[in-house]
Amino acid sequence: MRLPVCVRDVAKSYAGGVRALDGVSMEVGAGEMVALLGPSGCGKSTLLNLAGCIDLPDTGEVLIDGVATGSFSDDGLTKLRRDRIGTVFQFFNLLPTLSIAENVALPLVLQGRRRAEIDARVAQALDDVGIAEKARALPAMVSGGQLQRAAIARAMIHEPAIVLADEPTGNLDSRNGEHVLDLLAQLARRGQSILIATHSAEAASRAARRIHLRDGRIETTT
Amino acid sequence: MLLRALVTRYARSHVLRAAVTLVAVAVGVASAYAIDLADATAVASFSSSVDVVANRVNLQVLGNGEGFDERTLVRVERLPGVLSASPVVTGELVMNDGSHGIQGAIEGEIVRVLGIDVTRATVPPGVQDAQRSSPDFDLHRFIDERGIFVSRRIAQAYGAPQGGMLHAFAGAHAVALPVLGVIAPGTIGVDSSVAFTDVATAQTIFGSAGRLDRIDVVADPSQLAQVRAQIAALLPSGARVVTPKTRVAEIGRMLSSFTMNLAALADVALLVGMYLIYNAVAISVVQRSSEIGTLRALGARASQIFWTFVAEGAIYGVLGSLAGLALGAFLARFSLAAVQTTVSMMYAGSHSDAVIYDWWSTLRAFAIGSGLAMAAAAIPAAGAARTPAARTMRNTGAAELQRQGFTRATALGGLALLVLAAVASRLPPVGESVPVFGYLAALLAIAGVSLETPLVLAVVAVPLQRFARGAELTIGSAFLRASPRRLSAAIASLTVAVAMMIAISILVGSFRSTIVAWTNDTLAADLYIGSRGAAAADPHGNFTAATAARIARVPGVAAVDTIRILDVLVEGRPAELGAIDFSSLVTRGKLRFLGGVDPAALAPQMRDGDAAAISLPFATHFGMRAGDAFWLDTPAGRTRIRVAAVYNDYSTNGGTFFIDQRTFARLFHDPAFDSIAVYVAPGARIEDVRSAIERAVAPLQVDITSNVELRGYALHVFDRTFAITGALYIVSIAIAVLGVISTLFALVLERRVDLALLRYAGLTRNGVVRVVFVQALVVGALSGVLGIALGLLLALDLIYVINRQSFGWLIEWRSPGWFYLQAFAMVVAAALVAAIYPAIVASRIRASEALRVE
Repeated sequence: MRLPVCVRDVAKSYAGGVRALDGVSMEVGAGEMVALLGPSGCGKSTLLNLAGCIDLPDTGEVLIDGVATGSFSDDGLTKLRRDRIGTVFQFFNLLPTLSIAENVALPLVLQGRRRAEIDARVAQALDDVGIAEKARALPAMVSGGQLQRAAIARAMIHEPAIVLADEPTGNLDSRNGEHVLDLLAQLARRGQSILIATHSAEAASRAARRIHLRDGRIETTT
Repeated sequence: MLLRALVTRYARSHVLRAAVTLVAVAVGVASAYAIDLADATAVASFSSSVDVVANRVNLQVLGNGEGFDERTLVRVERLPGVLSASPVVTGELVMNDGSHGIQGAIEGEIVRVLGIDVTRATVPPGVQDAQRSSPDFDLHRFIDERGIFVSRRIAQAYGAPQGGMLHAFAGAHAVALPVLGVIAPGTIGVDSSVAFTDVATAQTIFGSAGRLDRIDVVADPSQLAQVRAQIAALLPSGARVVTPKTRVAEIGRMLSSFTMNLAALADVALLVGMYLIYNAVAISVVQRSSEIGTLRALGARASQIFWTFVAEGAIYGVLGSLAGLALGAFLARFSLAAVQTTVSMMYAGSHSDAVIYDWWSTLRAFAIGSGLAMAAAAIPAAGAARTPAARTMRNTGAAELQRQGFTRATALGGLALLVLAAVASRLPPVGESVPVFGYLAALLAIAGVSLETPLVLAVVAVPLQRFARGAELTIGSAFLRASPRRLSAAIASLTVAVAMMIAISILVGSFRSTIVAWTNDTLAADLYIGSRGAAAADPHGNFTAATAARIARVPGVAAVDTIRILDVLVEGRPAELGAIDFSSLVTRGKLRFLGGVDPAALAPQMRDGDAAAISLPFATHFGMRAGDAFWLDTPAGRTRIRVAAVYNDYSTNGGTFFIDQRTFARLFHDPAFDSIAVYVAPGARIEDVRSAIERAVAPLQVDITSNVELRGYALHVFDRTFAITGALYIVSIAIAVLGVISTLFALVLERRVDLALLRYAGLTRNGVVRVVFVQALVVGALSGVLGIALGLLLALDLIYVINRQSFGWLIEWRSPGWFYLQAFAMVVAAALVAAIYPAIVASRIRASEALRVE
């Protein structure tokens, strides 16, 4: 069986000799929600970046749908991210100059879909996350919870096999945080693989597996 | 949607920067366009004023200098294949506007007169129109009444309506001609400074009875080559047959060096504008790096990001260029006046009634403006395309790494370009005298020094931060270190503008000093006598030997020298021939010969052989040196002229050569002179001698100019020629200052949170203002130092490569030290003025903003 995400013995260092990850292996199955836990600086975001093909490991390999990505060109990785991966950022990362609907539409626009299809799917996605009435608003005009829902709508609109979320509830109050976790769980039930980097116990409790990192290594898996 | 996400809506929320960038591009394009239009109009006007012909004329017989025997006309028109042949006599009238002396010589408008045969088929369109507009006009009056057709402008300017009289000077004679017709403005192919008269009348006015300057031939197009060969075979020595197209090309070549230099200078303003495009796009790339990272993480390709930012540059380029075209079209009328003054002074009188808005100039300005804008945006766009997607998630220190690499890479690239600039400056001109590699060296030097700015900024900012005392200096220098790219672009744009100012000032200052020294050395006579209506090279001469003898007998006159100047063709290209008494020159004159030539040893060769002393511009244009030889068509036949020596000369940028009067008399059978130099005897008062000469030559109308007045005239011509360059470099500096405002403003916005935190921590409003001024001071000081360094490089290139190759002028380097201090102080002051608005905005940032963000 080809796993949606498989990370094998990866290591990653940054300038100044900071070793962010050291010999880490993990995998995420289809329809599985996995949480990455650990203190700040333990390597959660770096592992998320590697799993999402946003960054490349110094050693080891990352396989997406069973295919090793190490030999992919920049364009190849871009295409992979565009078609197979959705990302929810801690600070939402909605483009301030685009409306909520336009932000949500971005993955489909980048895929070159037709306007009619984009409009229909954006309307559906906004409806699914409960912010259809904010479609025309600019990000600056909506609340943090609504921003994160828009970010989730953007992450799922192109039906990626994998959704990565970096502290998805980190900037939300508990009610909004809960709603975001509900949405992610919903995606997992639809068969999408969810990998969350989080400090939140509530978020961790929703995951099927929890990987604890410390100093760039996996400490435990529960 | 990417364009909307990253560019258009962003620009709307940063209106000031977008507006400043658009204004910079618009002003740059406007300068280039206005100069280009002025150049094109001046050249077209000049061409049309010397070359008014009917459409069907496909061959022209031209005289060499003083025309040819009019019996040639009969021989030409009898040839098979010649459908018609029309005689033309040309000359110049200087309008009598009431001024006298040197002032009159400078300001008196020149009207180019074409003496034509109206009974022939090849009447120019202007005359046809004038005839049509006067239904009662009888062609015979044109011939019988010895009158003239003038343009409406001339008729109105000099009070000479149809039926009135036109008063002017033709050579040394005052003439009054009945105005028989007025040519409507806008007549195709006719400049308003052109007038028409009958060929016989023109021969009388200009004293050239029995001679023609031109024959316009309509030949059977199917036999053109054959007819041309037949005409060439029957022409007397000194005459030649050409196509009208060849003639226009000759004129274009003559003006090309001048127009190219001016166009290159105007393009500098455009170049400085491009730095602002680079700056604007670079700032927006940095400010939107998070959004770019997000898009990359979502699957946007690097090429999509690249083209989005190139499109931003294109938007600035297209909108700025369109605005620039409108502004340039308006400014062109002013630049035309300046360019035309120079063309008239340096080459020949011409007048354009209106700017010619040709499509080529318009398209060129638009394409250069838009293209350069896209090229300028491509550099930061490439940086944006390399933005890693991981930037979105967490900053990992990659930005600092990139910055160090950026400084090293640009410094090495800059060094390589400077080496290439040095190599290019050593290469010879392309074609006759186009200093392509000289211009390339200037561009490479500009790019090279620009690329060194990040290194220079780092070299200054690091120790400044380390040794800084006081909060403002410490914070200001830290901000400088943190934004090398944006500040480098602002410094580079100001550097280029300052460098152009320095370079042009050194060139103009050096050139002026050289001219002063040259006129002091070479203008040895006390008085110079020319005819009131003297053109630069009058084909018919104005004075006879009898006149010279009369002047020589005037009490107080110690000696006289006579000078004859003729326009001739050497190897198919226009040149100026001067005939002088070489023995006298050795005794009294002081031509500056190159290569340590002894004038006394030269005199016998010049007197006895067919030898010439050539000017340095002539040597440059024709690629000749002492010992070489060239062929000259003369009435006595084709003669081989040997180059005996080369002398330094700044009087024209064409090419002048001198032969001895005896040689001239033998070859040209021409006893006339154009001007007479008078040496006043010791003890005699110059003013008394001047008055006595005027009385002695009466009724001839002469202008007598003293040595001092002539030197003043030379400098007057010089100053007017370079007046436009001053305006152009002020435009460049204004654009660059806009760039500094834009950059400092962007930095303030970018550091808003930092500044709010500093305010929260206790930095006063004035402290914030000082932080902004510290940055402006460093930007100004570095731009000043780099600008002076680059300016010196460009001045070397302008003086020793570009001008040398274009004009053959040998300019002696002069640059006073205080000038650099003045320039430095000016650029620092400009940068501080540019910081006022950003400082005010920064001082209004409240401490609470920091808390809100947190």
